[in-house]
Amino acid sequence: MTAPDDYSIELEELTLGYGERDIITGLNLSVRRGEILSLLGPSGCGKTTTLHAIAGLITPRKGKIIIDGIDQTNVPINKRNVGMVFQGYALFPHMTVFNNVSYGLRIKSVPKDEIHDRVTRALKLVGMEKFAHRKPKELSGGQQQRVAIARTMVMEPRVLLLDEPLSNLDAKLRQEIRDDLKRILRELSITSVFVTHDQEEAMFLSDRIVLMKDGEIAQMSTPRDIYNHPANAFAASFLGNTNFIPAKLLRQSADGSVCELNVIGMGRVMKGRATHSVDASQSLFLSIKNDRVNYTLDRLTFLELQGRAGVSTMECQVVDVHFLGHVSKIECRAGSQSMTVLRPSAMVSDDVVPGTTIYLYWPEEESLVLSA
Amino acid sequence: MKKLLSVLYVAFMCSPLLIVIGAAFEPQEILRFPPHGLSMKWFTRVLHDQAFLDAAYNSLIVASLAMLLSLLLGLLAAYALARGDGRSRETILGLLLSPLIIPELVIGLAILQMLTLMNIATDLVVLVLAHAVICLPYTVRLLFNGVSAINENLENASLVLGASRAGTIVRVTLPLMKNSIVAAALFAFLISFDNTVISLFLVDSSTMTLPITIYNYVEFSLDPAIAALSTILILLSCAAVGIISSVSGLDNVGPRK
Repeated sequence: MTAPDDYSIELEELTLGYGERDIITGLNLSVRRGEILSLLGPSGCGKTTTLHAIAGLITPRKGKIIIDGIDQTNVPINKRNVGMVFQGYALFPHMTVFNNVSYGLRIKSVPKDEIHDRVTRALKLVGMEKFAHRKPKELSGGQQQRVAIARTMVMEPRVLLLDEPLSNLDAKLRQEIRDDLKRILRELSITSVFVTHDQEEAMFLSDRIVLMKDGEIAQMSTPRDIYNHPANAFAASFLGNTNFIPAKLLRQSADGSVCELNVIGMGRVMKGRATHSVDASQSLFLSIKNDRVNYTLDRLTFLELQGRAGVSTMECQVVDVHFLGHVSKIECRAGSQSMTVLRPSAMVSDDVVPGTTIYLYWPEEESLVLSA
Repeated sequence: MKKLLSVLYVAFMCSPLLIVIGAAFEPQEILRFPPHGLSMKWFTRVLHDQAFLDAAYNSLIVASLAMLLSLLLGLLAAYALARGDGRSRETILGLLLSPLIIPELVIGLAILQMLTLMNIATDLVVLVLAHAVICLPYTVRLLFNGVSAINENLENASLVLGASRAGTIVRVTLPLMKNSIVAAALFAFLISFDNTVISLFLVDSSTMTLPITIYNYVEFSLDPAIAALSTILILLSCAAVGIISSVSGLDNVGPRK
């Protein structure tokens, strides 16, 4: 049990909206002190709206925003002292790096000497002290991000909010800056909330992921847990690399964890594991991560595997093989059911070509039973 | 080919001006081109003519005030339109731009009639207000584009860093739309300074503007004085544009996107 003052940000029954539409209704969320939390979800899920509400850019219709134990719901944006790094960084283009970073201090009429010291320290923190007299447009994307973080951190904010910090960068640069951002956030050890639509980014950067869908929290957990134990089909598909097999529940063990399901469209029974409660009246899915599926081309091995307990098998035809460098992606099909297999390229033989019959198998406990 | 077209275009645009400038140096009392001689006497005459000087002074005052007024109102309107919640944006914008569609003759007559009904004499203030009305479409449009072109997150960043809304506008928004403001000011000034039709209804003997004085003068005499005056105005305009272009870069002036 965590004590209330271990939370940096608490959102209570928060309702947010624009115009006539409510985007978020009754959201409850607590961010632990010092943790890096990501709000992940498809566009329109309300993640940016939530971030803007914490910053004070929009006023909640209902509910409370508490930062460091103090109700901030009606505190105007410029009195809230939260730090925010905007999408595209929003550095003031008409000011030098130094003036960008000193902006907030100048507003607060901090004495000149102190401004100089604090700005220099903030720029050192992000390794940009040599660029103080440059204009933002003379900096690379990564350098701009560092300045944006310095501009925020110089105000000693209680929390740091980041809105899609990596979205406006091209793929190669993005990885580089992502590493950089992780290092900086770790060093700052400040409570950080960031918004992203990229599951890889979220998994890479955060201590905890809040997966959102249609204004609600679909799942909230550590990256590893949310990837390995998605709460529902949405979570499984959004985190990616998942095969879905539609099925109907036949039997469930007493504790509910082991299920027997009738696989629609294949006329056979498969076993799976339920890590979250499932509603038997709904249509269900067996979800198997692409990288947990193995294959063989040898029919005898397959027949032997079929007889073994605790192994699920499926006979498929290869549709396509994609070489992605360190891994290869095999797309195959059994009737109307398509399956994708991700294996290290070194393990994929050249005999796997479109049209080949391929035998898939995976441990039964890798089959998760999920509601839609 | 492109170059040739450009040269032809510039020639087409400038040749009437060259004729006026040429005619200003005619020594005789006839307005003609090419001039039969070279004389500066009409320039001296114009620069010592009290009527022209008074009118120029009036025009300068009216244009400056109309520019300031339409710039101020335009800024307020543009900011509200660009950053407001967008309700009835098109309607209000349309209303503010409507003086562009209505013939100036109609506007002038309407204002005059209204003033007569209200028993208000036409004076400098009336003239400035009327000019501000016809300047407003240009300033609103240019400044609206100027505000819209600024990434709203720059303003949000300023707010999050502790600045008030007003402080944000002064420190971030206005400096970033400097070029639009310069363009809007230039347009407003020139539109007021050039205006003849509306002024025709609203000037009296004490508020004669330069275009009206020129208009009246040409009615009775067609001598090179008018060409000399025009030449001075052309040179002043060129100087103004030149200065602005060297200060803020005329390429950046004007509506973006």
